[in-house]
Amino acid sequence: MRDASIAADIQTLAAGDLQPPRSRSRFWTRLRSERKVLIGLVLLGAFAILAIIGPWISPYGPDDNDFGLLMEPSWRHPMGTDSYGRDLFSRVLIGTRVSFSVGLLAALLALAIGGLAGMIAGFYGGKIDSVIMRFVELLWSFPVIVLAVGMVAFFGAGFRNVVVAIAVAYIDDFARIIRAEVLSLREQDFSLAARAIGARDRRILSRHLLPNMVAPIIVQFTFAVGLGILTESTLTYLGLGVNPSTPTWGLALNEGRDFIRQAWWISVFPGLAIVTTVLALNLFGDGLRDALDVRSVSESR
Amino acid sequence: MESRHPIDWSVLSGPYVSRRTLMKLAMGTGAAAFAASLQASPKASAASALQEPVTGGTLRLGFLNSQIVTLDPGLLAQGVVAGSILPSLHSSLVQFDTDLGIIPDLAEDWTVSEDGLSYSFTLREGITFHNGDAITSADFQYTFDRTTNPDFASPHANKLASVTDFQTPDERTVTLTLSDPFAPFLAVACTRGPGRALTPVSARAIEEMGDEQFGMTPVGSGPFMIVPETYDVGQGFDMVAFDGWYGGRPYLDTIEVRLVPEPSSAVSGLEAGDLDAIDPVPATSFEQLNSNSDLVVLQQPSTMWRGVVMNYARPPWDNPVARMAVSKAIDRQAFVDTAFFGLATPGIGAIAPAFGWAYVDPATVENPQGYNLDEAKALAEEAGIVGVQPVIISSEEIGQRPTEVLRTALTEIGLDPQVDFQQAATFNERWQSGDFDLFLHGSVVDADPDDGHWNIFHSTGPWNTYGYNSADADALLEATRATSDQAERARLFQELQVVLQTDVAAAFVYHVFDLFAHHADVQGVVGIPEQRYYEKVWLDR
Amino acid sequence: MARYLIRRLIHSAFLIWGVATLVFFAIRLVPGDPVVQMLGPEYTPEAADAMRQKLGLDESIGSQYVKWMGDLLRGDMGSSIATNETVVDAIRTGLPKTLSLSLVAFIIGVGIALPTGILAALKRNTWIDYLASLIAFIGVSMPGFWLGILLIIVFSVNLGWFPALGYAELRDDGFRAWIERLILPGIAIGTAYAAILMRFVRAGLLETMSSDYIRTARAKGVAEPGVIARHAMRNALIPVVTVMGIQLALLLSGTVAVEMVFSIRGIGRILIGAIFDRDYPMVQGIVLLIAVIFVLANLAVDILYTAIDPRIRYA
Repeated sequence: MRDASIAADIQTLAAGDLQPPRSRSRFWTRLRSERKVLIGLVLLGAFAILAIIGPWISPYGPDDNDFGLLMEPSWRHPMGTDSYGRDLFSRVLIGTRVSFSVGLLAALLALAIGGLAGMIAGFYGGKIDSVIMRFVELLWSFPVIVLAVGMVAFFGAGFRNVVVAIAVAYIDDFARIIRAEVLSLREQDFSLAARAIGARDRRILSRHLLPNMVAPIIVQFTFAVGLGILTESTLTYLGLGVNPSTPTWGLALNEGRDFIRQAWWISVFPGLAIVTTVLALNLFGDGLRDALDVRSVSESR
Repeated sequence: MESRHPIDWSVLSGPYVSRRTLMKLAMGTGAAAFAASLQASPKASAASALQEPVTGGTLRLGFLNSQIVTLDPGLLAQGVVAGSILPSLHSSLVQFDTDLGIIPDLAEDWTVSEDGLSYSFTLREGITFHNGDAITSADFQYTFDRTTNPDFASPHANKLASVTDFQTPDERTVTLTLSDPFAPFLAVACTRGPGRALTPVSARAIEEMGDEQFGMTPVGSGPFMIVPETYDVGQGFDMVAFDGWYGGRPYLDTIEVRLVPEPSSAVSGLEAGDLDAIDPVPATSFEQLNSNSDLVVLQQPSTMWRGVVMNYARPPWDNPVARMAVSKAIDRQAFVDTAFFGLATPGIGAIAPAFGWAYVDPATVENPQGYNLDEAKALAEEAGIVGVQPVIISSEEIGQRPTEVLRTALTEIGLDPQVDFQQAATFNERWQSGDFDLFLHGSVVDADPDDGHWNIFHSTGPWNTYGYNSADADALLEATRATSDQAERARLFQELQVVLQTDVAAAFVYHVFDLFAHHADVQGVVGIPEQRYYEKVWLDR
Repeated sequence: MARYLIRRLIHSAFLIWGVATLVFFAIRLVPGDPVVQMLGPEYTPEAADAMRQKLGLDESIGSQYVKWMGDLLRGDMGSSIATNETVVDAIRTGLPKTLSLSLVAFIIGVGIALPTGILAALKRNTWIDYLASLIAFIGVSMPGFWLGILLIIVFSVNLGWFPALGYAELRDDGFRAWIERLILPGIAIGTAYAAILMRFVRAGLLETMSSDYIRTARAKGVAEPGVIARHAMRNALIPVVTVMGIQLALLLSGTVAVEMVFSIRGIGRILIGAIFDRDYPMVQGIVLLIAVIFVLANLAVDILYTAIDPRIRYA
């Protein structure tokens, strides 16, 4: 198993410039000064609003298809029409919600399973730790796409299955980082003190360790959402997507592939939506990491 | 079933079964409409007519497929490989001409007895396999035994199932007897390419290398030979000219077959000049390639059809009113315009345009299941299917575009279809086990309309997994097999078409065009629907 | 050290065995019958049974597993159900392509990451630094296959600088043909890799530049380029080497979709096709191969890390 110290070294480096030790009390001050967080937050906020109100403000329905095929962007159709004659702007807008849902749900699921596994492994140590970490390592021995493709082949395509496949592929990241956090936190004064006064395991976990792990979890979660969105688009490209009739960005990209020169807009706008969203998530997560001074498992596999 | 006409099966005797001759017989049926469209693109044929062919050069062919599973004719199940690649490596008893008439290949002549049960083929003199071994009737005996051996598990054994007797009276004669007349026998069992059940294979080569290796580096009798060391199952292989081919050495030295699973990569490769030809052309890229003056896109009618079949075992789809509502909800012209950018013919039945002798021009007849949105809405109300969520299964082979267009069309009558897009492995299981509400069923790369009708509409047809069962349809289908008179067969297929339309055995939707693209300097491309013969192709460089 | 090594090797062997076992059973639970897939829609039940018998798929899963493990120990990975090709042959033709692609992607990644990372560190908090960071962020936020498609359009179709697809054998077709076809897919894969590495190079360099011995070197009057080259770089590179190894998975993952875009039949494409075809032996073999590469690469990185950083000792 990789020695935690290596990961620690790397993660410290990844956190950016070496700066004087920080205290969390100055968190808000630092957060405000982090431009990355600000930019990321603004972009994410915009996308979040679109995800919520998208279906109401979209000028046309996602299936309305009588506007002419492959029409160039115009005032009527700001992003043009796609190869089925549907308004691309409406579809990208409505797709925001779907793409975010895939990323968010996958990250949540990965967090729930991986987090629990990591917490138990780190807290109890010994045999339990060994067994859990063997499974985590097993997952980690597959590249993400290989794992996700296998999972979708296993369950079949579709929204729920794609979410599960992406989640499984990222479980190990959460398990590893949370285990490392628990390991370091549990040796710190406050948890030793809690144990000394006879607090129960569950109480130590929930009252003392968990609050201290929120920061690294949020950081890792942010990256995972972005990776989930990227993975969804790749799965869709490989023909294993959410659903051939649900308007996601990955699907739009996939559908635009054959028309990239006749109709660049089909590939460019949904592609830009993906890049911007993932970029916003990465900027936000990275800025947060700097501000919180936390470690996180490598960003990508 | 007894036909009303006295049957003379010998009309199928060689050396030439012309579709044109048959066309004359079929004239009365109004089937001639598509005959004229059966020709190569004018750009290509005009150029090749002017110049003397040049020998030499390499054709880099992008074949849009992720892998060629086997090149053993006895085992090959991939229809597109059988039409596009196999004819170059393997000759057979007979072959198609550009009109889908049947002309000699390794057999220089053949006769069919008047009762339609006995076939006798006379082989050419001096024909050899790629390894130099002479081809005699014994090789056909070997091939027949091999294909029909249950242990060999050939998917084509069923085409020889009615052969009761197979004889080789002398080195150049092959005779066989059928238990019942089977009109499409020559086309489906004996032709170069699709009729691969009797495509001769070299016994010596198979004994030397074994079945598995033979599938990768077959020793055949076609105009090109595989270069064994170039074979890479997912990447492609090279084929070089076979000097000993009976028709003379092909013009090209080499054909590099490159497998390109990704259509847009193939299109880019063709435009960038990495490929000289791509087969087939995705309809989505037609406009782009056709507008490129360096390229020629060959456009032909195909032998395929597709239509929506609805599962009789799953209410409400056993209700003819519900099925008719679905059929009338589909605007066929709009469908092909959107799904295939107009590169398809709206369908009214399962008789494909390439079978000009039987095809019915949609403009000349009334289609009882044709588009009528108001009626469709009323029928949907009547059948109580508004708000129903039928599961449409689909796969890469059917394609995402037609499936998506179908789904959208059905939302117009208040259905909320759920598309279940499956990988080939699971898709085949799903439709074969009848696990679907509806899907775009059909048939591709057929040698005769028999393939696309019998299998799907006969109550015992192997692809009839949705429960269509009509005594009328069965009787008509059996009648088409029991006559050799092509005009009579055409009439029977057309009569059947009306039955199928009225029953909504399928809501017939389209026949896509067969598209093939190449650089303008590739000459001599022969236009046979879904078949590629490369021996007359040459490079003007 | 030797004991540590042996322990790690044994551990790796168990890990690989676990992967092999997991895949063996998982793929058999996946719906879809390889025999039906192979025979095509015209299959008959008799033909399917004959084929199943021929392939040994009629035996119980347990005995199939025992047989597979036994064969595996003898170096026999079986034959593809779909194509008859042996798995070893598929690996022999596919692996060089994927490794070539990964190598080129690696070189491109490192080639971009090192200079930009150093530049960003030296010009810290200037527009150059910000620009490099922004590009790095965009690099990790972009789907690799999408970048690949854009590259084909621009550099193959419009400019005609590179072939659009395919692979050329280094031995048969020469270096030029080989490298030409790997540059675009290499960029498509290497960009995300470069983006991550670049940030580590920058951070590592900044850390070492502020450390005592660099200040000493400067005080002794060593010229700035010398400081960077001889002193700072070596130390800054230690974690970078580790990251290179850890992120190797990123390269392997990236090849899957990019091999599809560029029509290269490397192990990624073989694997995807095999999963679609329910080609059990092929899926098992390729996944096992990927796991072995992965585990060994990480083992190598750990050992390398110990070797170049004397501070680290393993019990």
